[in-house]
Amino acid sequence: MDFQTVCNKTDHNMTKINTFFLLMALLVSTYSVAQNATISGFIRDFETGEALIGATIYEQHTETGTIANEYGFFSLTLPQDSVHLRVSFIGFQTVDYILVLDSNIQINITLTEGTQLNTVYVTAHEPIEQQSQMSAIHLDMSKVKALPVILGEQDIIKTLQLFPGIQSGSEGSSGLYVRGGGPDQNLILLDGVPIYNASHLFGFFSIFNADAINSATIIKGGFPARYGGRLSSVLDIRMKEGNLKKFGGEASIGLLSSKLTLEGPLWKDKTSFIISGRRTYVDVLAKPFLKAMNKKQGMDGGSTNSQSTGGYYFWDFNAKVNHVFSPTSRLYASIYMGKDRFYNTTSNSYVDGNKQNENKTTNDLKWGNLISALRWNKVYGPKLFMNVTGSFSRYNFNIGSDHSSSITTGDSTQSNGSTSKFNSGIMDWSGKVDFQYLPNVNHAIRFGIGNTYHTFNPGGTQQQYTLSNKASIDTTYGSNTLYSHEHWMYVEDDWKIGNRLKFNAGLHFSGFVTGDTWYNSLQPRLSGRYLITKTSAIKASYSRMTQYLHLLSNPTIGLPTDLWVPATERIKPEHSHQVALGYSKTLKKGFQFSVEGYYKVMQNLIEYKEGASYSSTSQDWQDLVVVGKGNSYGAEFLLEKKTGKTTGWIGYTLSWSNRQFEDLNFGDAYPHRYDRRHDIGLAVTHKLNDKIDVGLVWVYGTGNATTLAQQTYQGMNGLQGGSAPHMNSIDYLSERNNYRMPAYHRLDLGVNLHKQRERFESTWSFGLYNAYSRQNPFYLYFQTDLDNMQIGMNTKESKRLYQLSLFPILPSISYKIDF
Amino acid sequence: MPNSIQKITIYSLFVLLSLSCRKELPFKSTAQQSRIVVNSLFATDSTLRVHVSRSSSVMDTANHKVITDAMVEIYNAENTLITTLDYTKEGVYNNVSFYPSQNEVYHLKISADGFESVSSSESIPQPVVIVGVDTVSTTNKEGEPILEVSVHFKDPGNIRNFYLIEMVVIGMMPIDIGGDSLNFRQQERMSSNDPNIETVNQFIFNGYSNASDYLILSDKNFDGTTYTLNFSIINWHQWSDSQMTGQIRLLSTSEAYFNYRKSYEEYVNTQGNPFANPVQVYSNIENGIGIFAGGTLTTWDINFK
Repeated sequence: MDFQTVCNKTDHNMTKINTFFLLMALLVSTYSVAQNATISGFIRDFETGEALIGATIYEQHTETGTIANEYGFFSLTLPQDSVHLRVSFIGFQTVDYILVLDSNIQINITLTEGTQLNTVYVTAHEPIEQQSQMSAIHLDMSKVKALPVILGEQDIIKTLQLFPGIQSGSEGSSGLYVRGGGPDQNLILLDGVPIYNASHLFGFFSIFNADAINSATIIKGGFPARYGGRLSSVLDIRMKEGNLKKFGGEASIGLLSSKLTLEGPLWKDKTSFIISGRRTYVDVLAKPFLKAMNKKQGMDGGSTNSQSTGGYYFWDFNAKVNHVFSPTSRLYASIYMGKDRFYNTTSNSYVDGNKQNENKTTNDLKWGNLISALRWNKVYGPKLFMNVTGSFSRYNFNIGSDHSSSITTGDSTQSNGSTSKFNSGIMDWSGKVDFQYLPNVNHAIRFGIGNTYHTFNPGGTQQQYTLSNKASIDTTYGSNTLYSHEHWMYVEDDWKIGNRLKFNAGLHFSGFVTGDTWYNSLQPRLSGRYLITKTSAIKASYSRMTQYLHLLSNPTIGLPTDLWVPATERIKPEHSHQVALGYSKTLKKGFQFSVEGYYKVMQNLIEYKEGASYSSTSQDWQDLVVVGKGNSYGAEFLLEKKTGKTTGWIGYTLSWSNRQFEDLNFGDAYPHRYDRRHDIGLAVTHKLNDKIDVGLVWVYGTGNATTLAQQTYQGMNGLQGGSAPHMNSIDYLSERNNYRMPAYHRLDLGVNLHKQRERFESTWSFGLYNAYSRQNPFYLYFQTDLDNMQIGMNTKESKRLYQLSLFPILPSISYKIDF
Repeated sequence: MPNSIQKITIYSLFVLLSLSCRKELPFKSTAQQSRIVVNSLFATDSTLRVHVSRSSSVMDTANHKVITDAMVEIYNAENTLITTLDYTKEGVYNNVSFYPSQNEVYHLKISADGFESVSSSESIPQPVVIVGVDTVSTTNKEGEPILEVSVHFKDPGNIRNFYLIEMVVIGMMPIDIGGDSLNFRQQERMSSNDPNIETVNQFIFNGYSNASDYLILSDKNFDGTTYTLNFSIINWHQWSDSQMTGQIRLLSTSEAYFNYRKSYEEYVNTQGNPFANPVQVYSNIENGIGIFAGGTLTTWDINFK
């Protein structure tokens, strides 16, 4: 069948043709029994061939529609009749198709970037009130790139932390604390593969290079049945596929790092690639200065010669190849690698009498992820879409320390050495198959099955001591490697009943084999919306979630030393139940408003015992933890504007989050560390003209909870042996997390200057992080100071409470080219 | 002391935090008034002594103050007043004629002007008999002598029992100057793989990954039996040729003291470690802070020669 695309501006001849087809269709329909036919295919970017995930395709007569899935596939079953389809996606020109549908057809629709020619307002995705999915945020990648960020490093997770219900932990942290949950309760997927540590630089930046990302969606509640394995959120990130049409790329240089992205066809319209890399260079820039310092120190003479080198860097690399076998068959191969490394070497030598002493210490701290995946899409007929994925994911963390010393006297040398190495990590091999079946316009059914083979290394330490003239001592201890299988299957249906009611109902079944124990869980999921008017709806949801992995986190400072451990026979899986109720409305002029209340309970949460920490490596981790429960509840308000020259949002969260462990806090419930009563996020971008756009971010949060002693007392020490006991001063902690840090607030400003040149577009970006230089709290501690330390004056001790803050006002500048 | 892994992490954080700013904050205390603090571990072989002091604001750097005018009363299980303890010195209240008895429950009540009254209840557990002690000299990986010790003791049945065991070296230590000697007592380093041990945050010493200065355990897995606890004295080589005497000290105590001692040691071990979970030291004083507990000490001497 020949197919013609009709633009909004119709001409006289086209009108005649369409009228002809319309009349023919009407005649046919008069004498035939009404039947349905299906339009299916893919929606892609005309310039690049990238899938437009979440693009809407809407039939005007029947007022029904659908959205493109994560691979750009859509399927819409309609009565055999004349149809008027409107296809839209934010940032792209809307396209109308008028055709006569008399049999199943497959079409690939392409949209062109640009502003609307008319005043029809469209939303990026299905209008908020139409969606049965609640508690979800679809991130506009253009906003990620436009908003000002710390040191100019665009970051998906930093942008998500501006939305209600999603908190950062401490200053600068890229961890996600969603509706009172911990950072381990987020299922972070990169092209469908779970990632275990999404942080660079102790959590200040995420591992996601925004230049390589196509889309990001986070779900905070009302989880569809296709997701499982974590309690609090699902962050589904899709990489770009690579431009099938032409070569291009982006390169940028900034204060912290430089990035390069290249993409293009290996075989035009058949095979494309995209590679993207980023590296910091502070260590490279610092090396000459360190060298000069060491040289100067040597020249100053003296009996001691000290040298030191060190630095920190991170890098990450994404690569993806996709090949189109046919319009219904496509293969993707992707890989992500990233690493952080902190290193330091100090050495010194000195002479003591007739002895020459030399010492050298090397410290090394590194962590990183490796993720690879192979995916195959296949479309069976107009209604069935299949995706098969095989993947590998690995996270490693290593600490090493090496010390050597020697004393030379005359011809004799005594040398000693010690080496300490700690490593932990997790490795997954995974396979899954997912189907999407769209039998008609009222049902969108998904089902699938999968399995992951986990290998856990919760932490092992190797220590070696080499003593002069004596045998060396070699000790290895820590937790054993653990193996397990995690499997799942699910079915869900997005079901429309009448014009007002739509809900998503599903079942997720999962199991976990560890040792001789098989844990399993049947998790019902339900979310729905009821249209009050055409532009407003009330929504409700219920989810039961099960998580078979735990993360042992340091309670005081965010560190990459957090350990992933599995559920075992002793330590059971975590469970949660969450209910949510909300209201959403599309307002005029591109505004959307939503309000949601939620209540979540969690069981079998783990926490380090009192006094234990990640460095308690001489014991099995199961002996270091206690098991308890938690709850969280609150309300979230969000007002968004997605279209026009000025876009952005303001969000407010009122929330409570508590924990209770029988063996902590004397069994009483206490506030969670990140129990933050009020949280506000404001993000605005304004396009002054085609060359200049500005951005503003303002965040406010009431202080995190921390544990501070408020009284001290004398406590007994030592065993009684007939003598009076010794007394020591002890801090009295009436309750865990009993003190609130000062409130956190921060203003970031940014401006982007674009210039279109002959062969590329350049952008200068200037930013101010923490524009009014607020000293936000990172850590609180007491210190006893000696006052009046002058000769002849009585010194006096006084105790003070100090706050450490990390980032004052930080300007940033970066230069980027798109070619 | 933090181990090497903690040192590296502290160092890396130090470099990061060297970029940070520091400022003093006003301390907004939500704490209640000062509380009565009680410290008492009593046994049948001595009079019942109770140390009474007051808690101080965390900002107060002065020495802790004792309470000298408190009313300290001891009641029996029927809530009949048995005795009132008199103030002696340095915060200690005592009655020189009152010796607590086994299997009696004692209620402590303390009141003082300006403080909320406090109370607690405890009893002295049954004495534990050390049936015998076996020792074997052996060597560690470096060829240094260590002492393998097996302590056999009879656990009373049908009751929860809690134990602390340590080994000390005692005797007269000659000093170089003047030819005099001083009374010496030092706690020794122990290592044990006993599955009932509940010591937390053991440390690495001389190649042993589970070294500690004491051992604590409960009888949940050996109630009513004659139990053998095996451990090594891993720094015994310091004393193997000396005139000193080793003393095994087995304290049978209540669950309250067991929890107090365990949490206190955890607290001490976490001092200076910013990565450790904060520790709330156990208290069984109602409306107050501290510990009021009974214990029975049994000792067994070992001659090193």
